Formats: sequence, structure tokens, C-alpha cells
Amino acid sequence: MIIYAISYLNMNKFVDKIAKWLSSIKTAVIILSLVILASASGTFIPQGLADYEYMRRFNQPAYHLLRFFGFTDIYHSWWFIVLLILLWCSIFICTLKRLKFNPSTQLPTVITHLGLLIILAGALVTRILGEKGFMIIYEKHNQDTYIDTDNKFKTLNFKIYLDDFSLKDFRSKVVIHKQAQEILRETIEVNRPLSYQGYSFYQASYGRDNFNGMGKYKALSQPLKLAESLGRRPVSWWTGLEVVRDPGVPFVWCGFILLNLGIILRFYFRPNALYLKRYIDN
Amino acid sequence: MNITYINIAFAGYFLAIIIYFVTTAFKAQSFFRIATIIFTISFVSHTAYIFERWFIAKRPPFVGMYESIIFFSWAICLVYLVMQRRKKAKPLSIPLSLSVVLMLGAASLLDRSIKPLMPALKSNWLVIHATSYFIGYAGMAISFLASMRYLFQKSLNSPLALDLDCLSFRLVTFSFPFLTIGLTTGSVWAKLAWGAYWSWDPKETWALISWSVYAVYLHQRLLKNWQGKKAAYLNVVGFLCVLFTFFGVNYLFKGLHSYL
Repeated sequence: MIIYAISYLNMNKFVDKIAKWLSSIKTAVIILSLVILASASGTFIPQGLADYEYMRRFNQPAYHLLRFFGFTDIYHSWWFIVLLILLWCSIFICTLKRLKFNPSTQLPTVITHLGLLIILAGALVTRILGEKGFMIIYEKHNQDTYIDTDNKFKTLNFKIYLDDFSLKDFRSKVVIHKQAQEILRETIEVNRPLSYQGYSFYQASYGRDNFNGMGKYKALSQPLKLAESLGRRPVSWWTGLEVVRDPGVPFVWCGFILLNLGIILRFYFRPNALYLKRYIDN
Repeated sequence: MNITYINIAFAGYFLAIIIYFVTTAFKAQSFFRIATIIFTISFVSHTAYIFERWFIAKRPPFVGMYESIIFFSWAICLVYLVMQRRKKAKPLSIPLSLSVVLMLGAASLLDRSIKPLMPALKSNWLVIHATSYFIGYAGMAISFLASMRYLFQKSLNSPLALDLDCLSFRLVTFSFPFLTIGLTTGSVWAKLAWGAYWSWDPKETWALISWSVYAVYLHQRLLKNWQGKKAAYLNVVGFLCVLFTFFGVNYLFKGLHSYL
């Protein structure tokens, strides 16, 4: 299969050239270095702020330049994703090349890189199919609507009832209903989210009475609209749950296991002595 | 809380430095054993202090700058003692014990009150994540010392220089799996605590950058035969990234990882 894959790559001259370029360690290192530089710059340039915040920190032409090249949201910019895809292809081709030469001795290396490929693929799945939002439920009330990061209201096909919120332990006792039928009774705690139908609900915040908005969920900062949409009741506790649906997670976990396994095998079980002996003799 | 144990450790490490100096200056190799015994006793006392604090605080002692420095220096001593049994780590004994004494000295100036752990962090993942990172970073720190000593050698072809170069590489191969475990368990823990396995938080990002620099180092060393100066410089860059991840990020940026 591997031989087929490689001979397939040989079929087209252009593809062949790209494959050859991607198959060198030098290329892989250059791409990885670019990813490192881009990631680092993203920690120094504030990411995802509101327009006026950037205007306050940078002058206008500088801001427009930053924005045009995606530096205000580097990790989601097209060129950063292209870099990651190039890195993926480079790892993929380098790993295939390794297999071709000496499969049995390359096993730890191959496991490691397979792990990386699966993690990156999982990240792409998260990016495309993942959903994230925030929901608040008042005590003794039902809720089936959450607000996503684009400030859109979304409705679940089940309802969550908040039976009790405990401030002391920072936990919410909830019941999941579907068509007036009780399905699940669960306690959500920090570090112990509730999972149902691919959705996970994390204990994120709490409060009493009116809700005054929260960071990135701008739509929530309109108390009136919120009170209408969520059916606010005076003087009662509410719990704030982060709503996440992320089909990329199983891939990432699987990749993590392979990555750790491969690296441990490579550096702790495979004798490096041979390499080192040759090295010391020089 | 009682600081007797950490004071004993501090005094012991200090005494060990003096004896290491005597060993080197007068070429009195028999003294080296004595210094190592004193170093080991100090380490036991250091360990006792950490466990006492763990017991009193009723949570793992890796929270805040004070505890981080105490635990980091402990991990450095641990890796050094383990390494010393098998490898010739003698040329590192002085710079290493000097660094440990400096770290403990710096820690003694910090606020050592026991702070409670925020609810989001109460998890067994803390122990795995933090311990692997501390051991991994400790290994990288010793590797950095070896590379620095290598770069300050008069002759880069002397047996000592070659030993140092080799030692720095061995330590990276020892530490890299710990860094990987730390990075991935951190990601799993973030998923459990905040709902996302990766959010490009500055701490996460710099941890990934450090990991990637060492990945480049390993590829260059194993596949491109980088040795000596070039490898040593890259190793230094790697450790500067580690230092930035560990200390710099907390002072410069606001993020989820504000407890260090």
C-alpha cells in the first residue's frame, strides 16, 4: 500500500516536485519554525479584541495591516491553517519514507508521527464541526437555548432543568428532559462536566438575579433581551454552563496516546546506545 | 509554617558547593563523595519540606511562585542524583548546586503563605501534569547547564567538552517524554476544567513552542548530525523558551494559567 502511495505520488511531475520538497526534514523543520514564530507572535499581538481596542493600541494603518494579514486572529487565519496543513503533509510524507526504508526499526518514530497526524486531523475536525456556547439556567427552571460564540441563539432538542445550585461546592444539580420525560439526573461540578448526546456542559459561572453579560458572549450583555429570552425570575440563583460539542476530541485523545507511547518507546526503550557510542567514538 | 527543613537543605547545598570547590581546586577527588553525601542529605530534607507542606496545605504544593521554585529546584536535585548514579555528572556539580542555592535563596524572599487552590484546579490531573512538567523542565535545566559549560570550554574537542555535549543530548532525550506527558495531560485537564483541549492561551502556546523547539533539536541532532556548538545553541534557545513559559508568561500576559 505504501509503495502504491509513493508510486502514485510519482505519477504527476508537479505533485512529485511538491512531494519531494515536503519529504525533506529540512522543509519540515522550516515549516515547524514558521509555526513556532507565528504562534509566538500571537502571544504578543492581542488576539480577537474589538475594533476600538485595537484602535486604542495601534495607529490606524498599522491596525489595518495587522488585520489584513490575519495578525489579529492568527490561529484562525488562512495562512496559519495552510502552514498546519503543509506541516501535516510533510510529516505524512516523511513518515511514509521512513516506512519504506526500514519499517521494523522505525516503529516508535512511526507511532509518534502517526499520533501527531491524528492530533492535527482532530484539531481540524474541531475547527470545522465544533460548537461552543454559553447557557444560563435559573433555579427550578428549564432551559434549552444557548448562545454560541458568534452570538447566535441555538436550541437543543432536549431541556435541562436546574433543580438546585450549591454555592458552597460550586455545583448544579440538573435533570435532562426530552418530550416531558425525565432522561438523566446528574450533578455538574468543576472538572466534572455533564455529557449528553455529544454535548458537554461545564460549570462556568453562577449568580443571583439579573445576568449582566459575560466577556465574549456579547448578546448576553443586553439584560432586557436576555430576560425575555430566558424567562428571568426575580431573586433566584442561576448557573452558567459552558456548552461544548466537539467531535474532534476522540481523535485528539487517540493521537495523544500514540504520541506519548511513541516518544516513550523511542527514548526509553529503544537503545540509543548504538548511536551514542558511534557519536562518542568520533 | 515551619521552615526548618528547607533551611537545613539550603545550608547543606551551600556546604556541598564549598566542598565541590575544594574538590576541584585541590584536585582532592575523595572529597567529592563527602559533598555528594551532604547533597543527598540536603535533598532528603528538601523532600521532607515539600511533603510537610503538601500535608499542611491539603493540596499538592505546586501553586504560586514560591512553591514552584521550591519544587523545581527539588526536581533538579532529583534528576541530578539519579543521573549521578549512572553517568559522570561531575562537571555539572558546581553550576548545578549553585543554581539550586540561588533558587532557594530567591524563594526565601517570596511570599510563602499557603494559598488555597481555585476549584477549577482541584483534580488528580494536577499531580500528573505538574510533576511531569517539573521533572521535564528540571532535566532540560541540567541539559542547559551542560550546554552552557560546553560553550565556555576553551577546547571544544577535549574529552570533557565531548562528555558535556553528549550529556546535554542525553538529558534532552530523557526530558522530552516528560514534556510530552505534561503538555498532553495539561490539554486533557483543560478539556475537563474549561471545555476546550486547546485555546491558544499564552501559557499553552509557549509550552507548545518550547516542545517544538526541542522537537527541532532532536530532529537536527538525530537526523542531521548536529553536534557541538550548533546543537548547544539550539538547546540554549529551547531552555530560554522553557524559562519564558515558566516565568515570563505569568508576568507579561494574563491568561487561564495565572496560578503558575
